[in-house]
Amino acid sequence: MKMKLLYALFVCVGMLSVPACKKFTDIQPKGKNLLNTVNDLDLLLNFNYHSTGNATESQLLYAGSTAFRFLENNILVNDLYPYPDNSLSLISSPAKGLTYALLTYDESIDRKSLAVSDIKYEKMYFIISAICNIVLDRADIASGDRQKASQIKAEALVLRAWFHYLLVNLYAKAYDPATVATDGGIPYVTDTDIEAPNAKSTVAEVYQKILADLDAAFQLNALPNVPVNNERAGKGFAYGVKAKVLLSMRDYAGALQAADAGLAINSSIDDHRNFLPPVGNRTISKKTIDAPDNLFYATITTTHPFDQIPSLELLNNVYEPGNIIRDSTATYNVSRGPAISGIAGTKTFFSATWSVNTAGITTMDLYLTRAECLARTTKVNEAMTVINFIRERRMKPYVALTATTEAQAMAYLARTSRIEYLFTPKNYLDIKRWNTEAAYKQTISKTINGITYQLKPDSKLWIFPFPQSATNYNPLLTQNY
Amino acid sequence: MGKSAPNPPTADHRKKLKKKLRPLLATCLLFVALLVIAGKGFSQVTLSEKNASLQKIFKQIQKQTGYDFLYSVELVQQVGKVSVSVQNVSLEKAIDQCLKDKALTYSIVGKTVVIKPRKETPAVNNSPAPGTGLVDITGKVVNENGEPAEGATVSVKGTTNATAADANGFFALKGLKENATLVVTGISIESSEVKPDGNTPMVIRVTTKTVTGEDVKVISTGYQVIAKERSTGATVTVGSKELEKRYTPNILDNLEGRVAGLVNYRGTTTIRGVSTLNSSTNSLVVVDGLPIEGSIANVNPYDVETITILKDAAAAAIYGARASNGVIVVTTKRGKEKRTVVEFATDISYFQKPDYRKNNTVSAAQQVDLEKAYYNWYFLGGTAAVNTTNLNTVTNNIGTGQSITPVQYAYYQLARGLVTQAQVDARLDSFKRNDFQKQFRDEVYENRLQQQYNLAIRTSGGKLQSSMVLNYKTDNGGIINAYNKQLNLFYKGTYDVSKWLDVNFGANTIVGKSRFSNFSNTPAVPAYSRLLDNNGNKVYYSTGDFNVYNRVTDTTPGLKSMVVNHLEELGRDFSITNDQNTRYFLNMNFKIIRGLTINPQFQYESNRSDISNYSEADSYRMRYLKNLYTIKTGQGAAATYTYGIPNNGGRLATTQTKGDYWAARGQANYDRTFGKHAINVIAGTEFRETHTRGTRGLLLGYDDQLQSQATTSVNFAALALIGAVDPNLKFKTGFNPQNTFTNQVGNAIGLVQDETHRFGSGYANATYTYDRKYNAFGSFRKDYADVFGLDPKYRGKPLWSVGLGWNIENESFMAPVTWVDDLKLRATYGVTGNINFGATSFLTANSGFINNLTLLPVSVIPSPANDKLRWEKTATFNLGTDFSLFGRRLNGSIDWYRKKSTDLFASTRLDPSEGFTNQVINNGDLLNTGFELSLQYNWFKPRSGSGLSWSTLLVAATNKNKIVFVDEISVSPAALAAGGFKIGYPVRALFSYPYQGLNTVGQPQWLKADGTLTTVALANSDISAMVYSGGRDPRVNMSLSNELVYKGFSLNFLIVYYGGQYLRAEAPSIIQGASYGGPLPSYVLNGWTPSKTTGDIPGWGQYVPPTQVPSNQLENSDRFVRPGDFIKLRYANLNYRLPQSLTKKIGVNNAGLRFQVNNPKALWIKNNVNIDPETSGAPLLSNYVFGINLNF
Repeated sequence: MKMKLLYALFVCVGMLSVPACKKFTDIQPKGKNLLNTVNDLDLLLNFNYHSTGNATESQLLYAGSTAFRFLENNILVNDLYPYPDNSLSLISSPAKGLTYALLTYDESIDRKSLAVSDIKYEKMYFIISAICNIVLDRADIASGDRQKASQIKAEALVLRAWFHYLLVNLYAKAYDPATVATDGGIPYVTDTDIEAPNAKSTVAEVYQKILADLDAAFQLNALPNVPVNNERAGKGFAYGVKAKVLLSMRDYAGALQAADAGLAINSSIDDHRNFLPPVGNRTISKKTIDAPDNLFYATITTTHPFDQIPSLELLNNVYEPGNIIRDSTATYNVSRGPAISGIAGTKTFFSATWSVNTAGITTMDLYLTRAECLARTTKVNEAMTVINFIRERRMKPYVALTATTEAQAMAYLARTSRIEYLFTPKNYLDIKRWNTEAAYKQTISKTINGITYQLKPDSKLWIFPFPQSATNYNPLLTQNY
Repeated sequence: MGKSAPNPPTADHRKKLKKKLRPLLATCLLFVALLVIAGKGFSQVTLSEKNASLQKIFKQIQKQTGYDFLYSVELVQQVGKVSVSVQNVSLEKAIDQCLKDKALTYSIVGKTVVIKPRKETPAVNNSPAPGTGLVDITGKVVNENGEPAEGATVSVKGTTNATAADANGFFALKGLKENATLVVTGISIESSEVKPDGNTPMVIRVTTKTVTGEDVKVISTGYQVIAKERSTGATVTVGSKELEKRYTPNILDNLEGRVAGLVNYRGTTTIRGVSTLNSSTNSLVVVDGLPIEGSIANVNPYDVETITILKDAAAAAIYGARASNGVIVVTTKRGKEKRTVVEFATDISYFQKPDYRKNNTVSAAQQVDLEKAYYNWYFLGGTAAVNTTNLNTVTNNIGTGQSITPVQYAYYQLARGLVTQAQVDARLDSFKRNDFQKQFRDEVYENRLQQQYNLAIRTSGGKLQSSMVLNYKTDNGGIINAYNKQLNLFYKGTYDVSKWLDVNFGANTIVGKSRFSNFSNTPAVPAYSRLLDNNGNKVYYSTGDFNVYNRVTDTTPGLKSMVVNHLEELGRDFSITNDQNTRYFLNMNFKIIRGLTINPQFQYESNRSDISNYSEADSYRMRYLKNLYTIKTGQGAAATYTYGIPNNGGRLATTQTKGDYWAARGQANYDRTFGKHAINVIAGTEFRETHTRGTRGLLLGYDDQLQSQATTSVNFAALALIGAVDPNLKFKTGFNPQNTFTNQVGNAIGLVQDETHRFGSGYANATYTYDRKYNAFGSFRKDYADVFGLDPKYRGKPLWSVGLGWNIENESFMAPVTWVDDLKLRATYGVTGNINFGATSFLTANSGFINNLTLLPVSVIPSPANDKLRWEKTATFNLGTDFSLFGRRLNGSIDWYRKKSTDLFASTRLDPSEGFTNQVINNGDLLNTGFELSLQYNWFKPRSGSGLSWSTLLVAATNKNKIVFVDEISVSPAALAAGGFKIGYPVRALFSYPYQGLNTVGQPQWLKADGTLTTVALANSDISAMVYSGGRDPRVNMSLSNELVYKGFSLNFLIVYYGGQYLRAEAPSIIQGASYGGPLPSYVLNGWTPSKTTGDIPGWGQYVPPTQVPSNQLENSDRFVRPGDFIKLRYANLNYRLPQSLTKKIGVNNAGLRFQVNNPKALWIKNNVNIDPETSGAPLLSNYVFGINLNF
């Protein structure tokens, strides 16, 4: 009987252990990064910002996506023709989609109803929310080296600032001091709460927050001058972002200071004279992530812009005579252009060993920012020095240019940067920015099949619609055009 | 050189035959052996006793013979002690000796010896109060087979004096009037009235009801056993008697036609419809009280005592968070009789060979004609002008090792002028006489033979009850070089430690080994090829990877031949799976005070699986792999070769997975009756853990015989980099082997994700019954699982249920209504749950990726954290009635349910600025409603045990499944057609493109949302044009089973009807040309041609639609959705139970024979494209079962 009671007691105690259930079921899953240590968080920042990867990765990394192609922006500013669509078919087809609107500057097309989703929007916010904000949220509580913790926080801040900068320039008006306080911007996302809708900030607020993030990053004083690889943020990249942001805000002195600080870390520049015989041959090549002029590498594929087709206006009128790539190498393919675009005389960029850094920053951003800042601050000659420094490495034969006025220098700068920034979204950013100034606004025009299409500086096409996948699920998000 | 010439034939037919016969022979031997044991051990009696009590002697005889003795102690004691000495005499002789000169006689009823006084003794010997005329009666209730009728109620007519027969059929009643009438009732027996025959003990013979489904009086929920009368839930219990009427290797199949609401269609079992969107739809399987992780297919069908299906929430609430899909509770058999029982059973199933003519493909001759027309056009354009582009393409394809069909090659040669038309025609004529599929059927397929043997030894005596079951299954897979064997060993024991403690314990080991070929066993070889030539020699042909016209493997010494023959290849490349599942359990039953028991239980399960894929050195796979990675340097005689894959030996790829699971439960039960009040309460806690993990490994250059391997000599990194442009490769120029490397080498090495899950729960339930009329039930439980994380509010979400039952027949006002035997109304409402293991509330990142430029490891967060994740919930309301009318002639139950599932895991879209575009959260709602009817009628009741009886059981169920809410994720027609969800439609709905047939040039066209026709892909804006073509699950299923019994024969058959479901079948694809492979689908014969412009089937070959047809749009068109309704005779069988007079002579208690036909030709199929809805193709194979069972 004693035993019996003992057993009974034993079992009763077992039964009263319901609260133990909670503790019993607290286990950590294996095969998962639990994001508890600085090193765990560091692995998030090894993100694949270029998009070639294996199939499993592609789903998770949004790799294989066209996010960093920026073809829409390139078409809008008449840098490129659509690819791989046939432009003539696009124009003649009764189905008029987004590409048609951008190609023919047809403002009557209801773009927001056609923009069901937008891979650029999704990918950049993925980087902001699922990488940067997670790192920032957890770095302080994560165990591990504190210096490393500060470093990953600083990296996350710079990345968050940079991708918000790209987003605000795509989906809102360019920074215009006159209206910036009321112009609708984008959500500046700093939290990890997915329940609360992210409110849209004004353009002014977005820029303030970008600067605040950059300042916070610099204050941590943990960024390496040169990062371990170019898909990680270093000080050079941070200065590059700051220079671009301040330039947009017309703070030329500040932008110049930042650009110079960046150039002090890395001033490499490609020299296309290397492609000229007898040194080189007619095939051009540029390294991918390891290209020395990279400050931060993020692009569509490692072989961009293979087969892309520059507009006839750009190829024939913007490229300066003697441009080495256009005139002295086998880069532009005569036969494929018309076959793809349908437009006679077009040529495709036909090199599988060339990699343009579309969504990152290179030293060219610093050089061109420096040049513009100098030109804007009455240092026209110094500005021309920078422009000629670039041109010298692009031309054969090379003739130095001189300017006497800011406007002249700016015109030379615009022509040079248009080619330097070709295949990236930066021409779109610059032209949109200049269009806010009476002195530099321009109407873009193109002729296809005898018909001329014009894009006015105040056209609403300059602002891209938020996709429905965002507006339908964020009640606070309204279009900016 | 290492050049692999195909081996000479090795098949030894005699050996094969011997192999086939061996199991049969084994059965026969076993059978004979058992008969001998039985003859010796059970019928002969040897006694040598001096002055012993009769009781002691009877016990001895019982031990030796297994016959029970039934006697009144007083009566036997009266006669005093006896001396007896006999040797190897029959039972009757031994008893005669014992009772010699005594005032006793005996009779043998079944397996019971009834001792009674001789006539001159007073009829009633024991009056409790002399002069009152009252007597006591003891006795035994047995069925027509002499087996004890456990649980039969014996009552005195007109009084409340009643008792129940125990496990041995014994009963005792006190204080009867001498002329009283006894009424014997029971759920599984026919009611009968008997007058005491003056003997005590008396034997009452009853007849077992020929009832399906209703023959069980208690319900086992796994946690408790409760009288059916007191239960309020919708449950169906099927007992072993029912199950044994039909042989099915998988016990689940045996439930078809017995359980309303359980649907086993196309390999998925659902109970009352699908109640989830993305989570598991598997029902929970409980064996002997605890859930098991192993498959229900491994449950030994011969060892099942009862299966209970818990359908509604009240019944299933006890399993809380895992019960949404219903619960299947299996109770295995235990030793019952107080002697050793040996059961032996075997069933041998013989299957027809698959009939390739029912695959809806063209014949070999038709294939030749079709290809002839196509290639004539392809090379010659129908005229004499040669199409040089096509000619050059084919020249190139031959050179680069693309597949080339023999007809194509004939026309290629004709186009090049190498042969004449007459030569081509002659060659084609000879092709037409070939029939590869027939040869394949004859030589490669075998008649599938499935054999199962079961031997059970159960003893019950003293303190220990034991049950030992040995089950062996073997199956030849229906194809050469294959087998699947399984040995299942189960020991279960109950030990009565003391009055207050029983211990149940057991161990179950299942060891399985199967082998099947990795080489294609549905060969993609032209139908007009040959497997064997006229002399029976093997013919060699290519696979679709290469062609026989490319001579590179013959002319390059470093390369291996690329031709194959299935007879050879099926034995060279195979997969062997070794499985071992073991389960140990221990549970104790402490009887603390009257009515209260404490019941701790523990179970440990361990599953091991080891899969070895071995490709021999000469196998096609190895020859192909080696060729791909053979690099040639130099030319001519000076050429040297480097082999990327070891040139000798094969490949061994293994996968080892381990699963360890344990469960512990502590439970208190309280069950008491106080006057008119009866209560039953249980409360307990349960903890479970599951842990699975494993590894995958690869050996190259492996030789099984030599036990050698050369894996370390392989430069994997270099192999991985070899791409299409590698100029060193001489085999299959231009082919990129990177995918091959990934599949054959890269993916063969790795880990099986280590996964641990834990569950903890606390629960209680109570049943209260008043006056046997009113039942109330309530349950409550809290469940925790590791998959739910942060917010404590959502962990341990309570799940509960309530139920009410009213036994109307026990009401006094029902007394005059004599035609109602049982009538019960019941209603339940309750909530159960379901788990999705894929979802987690924690924020974690997936690791293990590599950034291919920086070569650094990457982690990526796949989905946001969701701290509000909670169980999927299913609330079920069930209303039902059980009845038994007209002297239990008509029995049945009717149920109606409404099953509302909420908080279902479904993807919801997010604002992308949150970082993610969608997330799986609890946001789907589903509704299942349905009726269930089970009706059984006894047309004839036997007057005696061997008379004619005929009973019919009709089971019908409807189910309507509808998504009530989901944040609809299908925004494109393609996503919807691929299985997207839409509110108002079933979960497994078919959405189709509105096909409008072909236009004048043979281009398929569809209706757009604006009513116009299009030939291109429907845009997202056309999603409203998509047509709902019905659901994939049956909405109605009905079954009718009949049983006719006469003497020892019983005939059973089951007719099933499944209706209201649809499937896509025989949907045409765009077939560009006649490529190398199996025969073309027969619909190409009806395809569009300029002269035949009617019909829905696009042209093929030269008449393919002029512009590209959007992918999957034709396949998912509404016109190719077929109704899935069918009526089939599922099985019919004839069982014969040998008469006991005969079996007794050979010492066998019961012997039965069975002949069963499964799935003969369908009675009715609604679709008109000749497909079996259960397979989407050729009909299920008919098979024949021959079975024997013996009981000693």
